[in-house]
Amino acid sequence: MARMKFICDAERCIECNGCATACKNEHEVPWGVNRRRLITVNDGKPGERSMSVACMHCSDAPCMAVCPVDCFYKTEEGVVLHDKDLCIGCGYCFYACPFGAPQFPQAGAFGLRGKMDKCTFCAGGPEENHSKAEFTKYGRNRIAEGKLPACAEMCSTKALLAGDGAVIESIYKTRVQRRGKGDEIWGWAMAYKRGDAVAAGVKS
Amino acid sequence: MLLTKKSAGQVQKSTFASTINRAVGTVDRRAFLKRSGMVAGAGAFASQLPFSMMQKANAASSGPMVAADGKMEIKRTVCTHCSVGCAVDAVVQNGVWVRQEPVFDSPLNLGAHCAKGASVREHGHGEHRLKYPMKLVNGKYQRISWDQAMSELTEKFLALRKSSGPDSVYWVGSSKHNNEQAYLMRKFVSMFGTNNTDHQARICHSTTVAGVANTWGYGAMTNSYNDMQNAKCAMYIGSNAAEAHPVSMLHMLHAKETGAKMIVVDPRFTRTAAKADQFVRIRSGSDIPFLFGMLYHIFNNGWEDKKYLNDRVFGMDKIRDEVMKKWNPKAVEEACGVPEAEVYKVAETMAMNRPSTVVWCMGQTQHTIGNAMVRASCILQLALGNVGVSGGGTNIFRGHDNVQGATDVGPNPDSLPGYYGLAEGSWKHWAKVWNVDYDWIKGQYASKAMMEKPGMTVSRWIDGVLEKNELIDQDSNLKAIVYWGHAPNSQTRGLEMKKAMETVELMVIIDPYPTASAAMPDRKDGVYLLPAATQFECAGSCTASNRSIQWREKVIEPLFESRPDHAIMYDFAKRMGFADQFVGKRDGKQNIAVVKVAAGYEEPVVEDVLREINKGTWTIGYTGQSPERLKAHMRNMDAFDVRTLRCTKDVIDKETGYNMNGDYFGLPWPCYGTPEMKHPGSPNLYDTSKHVMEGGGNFRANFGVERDGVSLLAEDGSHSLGADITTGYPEFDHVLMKKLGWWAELTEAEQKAAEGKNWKTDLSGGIIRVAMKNHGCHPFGNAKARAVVWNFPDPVPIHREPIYSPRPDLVAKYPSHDDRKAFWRLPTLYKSVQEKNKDISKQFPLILTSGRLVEYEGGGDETRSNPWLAELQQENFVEINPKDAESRGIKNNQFVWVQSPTGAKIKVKSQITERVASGTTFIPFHFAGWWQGADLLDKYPNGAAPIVRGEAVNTATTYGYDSVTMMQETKTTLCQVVAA
Amino acid sequence: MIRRKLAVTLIGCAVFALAGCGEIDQKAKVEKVYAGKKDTRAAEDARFGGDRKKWETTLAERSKAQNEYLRTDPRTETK
Repeated sequence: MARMKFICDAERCIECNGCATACKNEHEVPWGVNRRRLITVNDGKPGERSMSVACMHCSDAPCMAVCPVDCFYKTEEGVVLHDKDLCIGCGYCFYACPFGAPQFPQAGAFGLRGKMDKCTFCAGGPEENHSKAEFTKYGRNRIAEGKLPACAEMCSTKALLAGDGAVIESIYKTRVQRRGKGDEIWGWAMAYKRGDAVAAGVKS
Repeated sequence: MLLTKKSAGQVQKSTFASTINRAVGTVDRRAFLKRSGMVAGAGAFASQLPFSMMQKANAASSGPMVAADGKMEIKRTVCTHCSVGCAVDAVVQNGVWVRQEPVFDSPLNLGAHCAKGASVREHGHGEHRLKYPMKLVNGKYQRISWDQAMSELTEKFLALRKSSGPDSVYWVGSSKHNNEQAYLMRKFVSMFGTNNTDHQARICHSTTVAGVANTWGYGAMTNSYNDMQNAKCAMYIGSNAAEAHPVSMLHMLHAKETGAKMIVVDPRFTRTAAKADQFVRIRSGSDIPFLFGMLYHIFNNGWEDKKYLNDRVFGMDKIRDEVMKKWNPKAVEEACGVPEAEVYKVAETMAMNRPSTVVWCMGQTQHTIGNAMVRASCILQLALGNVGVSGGGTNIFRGHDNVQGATDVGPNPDSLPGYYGLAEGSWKHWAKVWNVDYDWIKGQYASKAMMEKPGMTVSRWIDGVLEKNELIDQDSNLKAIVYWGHAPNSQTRGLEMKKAMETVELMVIIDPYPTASAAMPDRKDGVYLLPAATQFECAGSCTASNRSIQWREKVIEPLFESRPDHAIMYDFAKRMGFADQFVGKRDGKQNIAVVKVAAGYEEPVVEDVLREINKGTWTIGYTGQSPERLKAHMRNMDAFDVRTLRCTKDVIDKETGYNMNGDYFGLPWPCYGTPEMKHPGSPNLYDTSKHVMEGGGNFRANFGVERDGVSLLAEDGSHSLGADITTGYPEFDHVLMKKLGWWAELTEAEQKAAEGKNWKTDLSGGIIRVAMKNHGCHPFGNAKARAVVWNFPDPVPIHREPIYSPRPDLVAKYPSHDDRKAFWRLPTLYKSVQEKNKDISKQFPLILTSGRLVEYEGGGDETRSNPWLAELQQENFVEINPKDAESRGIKNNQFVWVQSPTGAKIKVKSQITERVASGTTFIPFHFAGWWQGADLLDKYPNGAAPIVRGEAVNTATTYGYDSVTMMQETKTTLCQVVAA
Repeated sequence: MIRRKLAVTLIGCAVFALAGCGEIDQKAKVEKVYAGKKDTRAAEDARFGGDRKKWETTLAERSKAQNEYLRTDPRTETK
């Protein structure tokens, strides 16, 4: 059973924004709405690392938990989607989300918050697959075409991986084994010895 | 997993993004993201278009959504934004580019894209394009018809030609043109009668091309992006590949995972440096001290490859003397600021992990001594025996998608296509290929002397306008400037450029976008804008940095009223009365067919143009890449190995029946001989471990056979695998063929064509065929590489301080060149300017350097007009060290004035960061559309201004040109920064 | 201190991403019932006709393109 996940390999991410742009392109996401974006730590210093962040399609999604109109659902593959017809644009999900994934385009003449928009794992939404309605509200449905999210497929260094958790985990594992390092970015050493473990690799 | 816990009754705003933003003291570049979810506090509440307008109102279509009835087509093309050559599958429906899919099969990029590559479908929208021909009338751009534009321009050009001579018009061509267009451009200006033409290569890698070609034969990247996977160590010096060539990092990071070491040497801690095992910060412009500092340790420890140096290199002893005498660790540290231990470590890592490769880009090339810097890098690689080796080489990353191709066969002021030069013999060679009369071409020029004299360079055209007439080396000053696919803001000395633009009688801009040229000058009239098609709107071949040639299919018809460049050239040729010569129509023969397209204009057939290139470009092996072979490669990309680029099994192209077995992807040049000879292309240059018919080779015999009584030919036993001649040998011509007794192996027809010729001018290809196929010998001979280039101003690379140096003490020690009177037709100053400005660092104490951002390319008019990219970088900025900012009272993300010794001042946002050291500032060069604080929006044609405009760094840059190629010195100048 | 917090956040994020790789219960802990329209499942798409196996295989095949080791180093074994 496929369980869809994203992993961003910070050892490979070069903050090129290919993912963010691929998303804009595939779904014609308007200016100001960023379903995916780059986060950089230690910008311009040894230990600089970047990560591409979007909706993480959480197992226990906080957005689902707080939504007052219950517009969220999770597909069999673990993709968190929502029904825009139901969404009231209240913004609770934005406050609940640890990743800042939900986006709110402006709607109407008074600049009110429109309906929430976020990464769909390129799985469209609750409209007929590949219909105009689905595209307009949610973007393309690549998953139903047997393709993976555009961001990961186009990643310049294949840092951003998407797909069945087991498959991408094994890809990632191969790299970590090859590097013989890389774990420390994610491990306690980095958390408690500050950036030293990371900086070990990069001395100026 | 929520790390910031919610407490009862209180919703904490600490999302991931805002936590990061708060935590990091200095704000990163993305903090400039306006109106996006990124900005802390502002949250994710966009204040732009409502989402219902997500589906773009498409100028050319009814919208991108898939309709049930539409015919879907897949067109394979190549990204136009750098030289990696990333393939793109365009999904086209009813003539509209509706989707973009990755091409996983491509051995070059395996489906990967950076922001620019992932955005190319936006070219199919092109809302900010120049939509129709326009003319400046009373200070406003007015729409005119193509016919009016072309007839008025033709009349003006011909009038200028008559009154001031053909050299009074300057034609800036383009590295964005495909090979066929670039080639036709050179042909066009030749037939107009001038060598005053150039393109972006002048200001990106001209010093590399000259330096590298003069060292060992060809002016190009020796290996490939892919081959970096075979390196055990890579040193990037003056290259920020993570931003300028992002997809190349796929190969490097892969190599790193499999054990390769990565070193970055740069004045900035770049994103590339962030991925390195070792980062070394040098002072901008001190590459030679650093490289020779490495060589000091290499020689000192005996790490040089002695056998290789003996067999294949000339003059290393002179280098050794210079290095050991002048560049001891103390002198090195004084000049470049790097302590001995760090230099030693880099040298040791490079020496102990062979094959090791060196990567450089603009950080080395854009200096008054760029030609010497790149040669210092070559010398390092020669000393380590790394050239001609898989995993080694000098991997010189080019900038534009076809800058290599335009350099090879395009509009260069000093050469006809294929580096043939401008001598009479070269002209006669090409006249024959072009099927025109040599004397007719000569008649088009002002004189035979002007025909054989290199033209001015794009970096200096402004001086061709502004310099006193008696000081320039041609009759008239420049009276007209044609920008044909080239931005102005990539050239230095903006203040003077504006003046030059206002001085010329006529300005013509031929481009998909109006570019900053349309907005910069304060003119009332005399400016024409012609909309050119993009590379997605025409077919043709382009040469990636690794010399692989890829064929682009036409994705969509030209949008709006735009026309392909080669159609515009043909139209001009026709109106100027040389249409027949332009397409080689004579004596019942016609080289290039012309077709009339639905839109009503005539277009030369691109495949025919490539066939003509194939017929004439023997020097660099552009002869084997027939359109048929290239197209077969594009259809069968999965047949090629990612590590070697080679197809090693029978793979038959369905359409042509062509078998790709043995070929390297894209037939990387040199692909010698006729297509029928089936040379596979050369993946790594000068590689003696392979047979010449398998892509092997050796260093070129291009500089004579002896120097100062020492032979320049390779030592006995050093030759390409399986060669019949096992000693060094000179290049092949009819005399040598006869001496060797090989002449009889040519067919009768070949003998007829080759009589009196050499391998470069024998149009039958017979000499090449017999030498390579029958005898395994290299047509260009087998010689040594030159560590000493005696025909350059500094035969042994010498460090000289930049014209505007922050170090008066070092200027005294390492002064610039003497001034020169007529250099590329212009007086060129070195010492006098440097002397005058020796203490200028008191007023302008900060080094100003420039470079790329990942989102934009070149002058940026195209990419800044693309909303998907423009959103990511909305303002130009200056990177300044926290210390320098503090002492100037500058806060982060505020407007500052960057002041230049020229008197120019530019207004940009401050970006306080340790990315630059104290004393150095950095500004990206893609911006334009502001002029010293003022937005020029009103001066663009209506609706055709780029979305993001900003101050161009080159408004503030200074004088200074390379002593061989006229490369501008943008990487080191001086400035002062003050709060605005 | 700031850096540490940052690091923790980063790790959190990563662990979060990786957590999904195991077979953790995918059900929301808060009992919520989706109130919106029913969505078509990916495998129900016309090109797979409800053949979930075929859809999964297609996707798995496509995933391989993310692993360049399969093309650069044939010795690497990946699942």
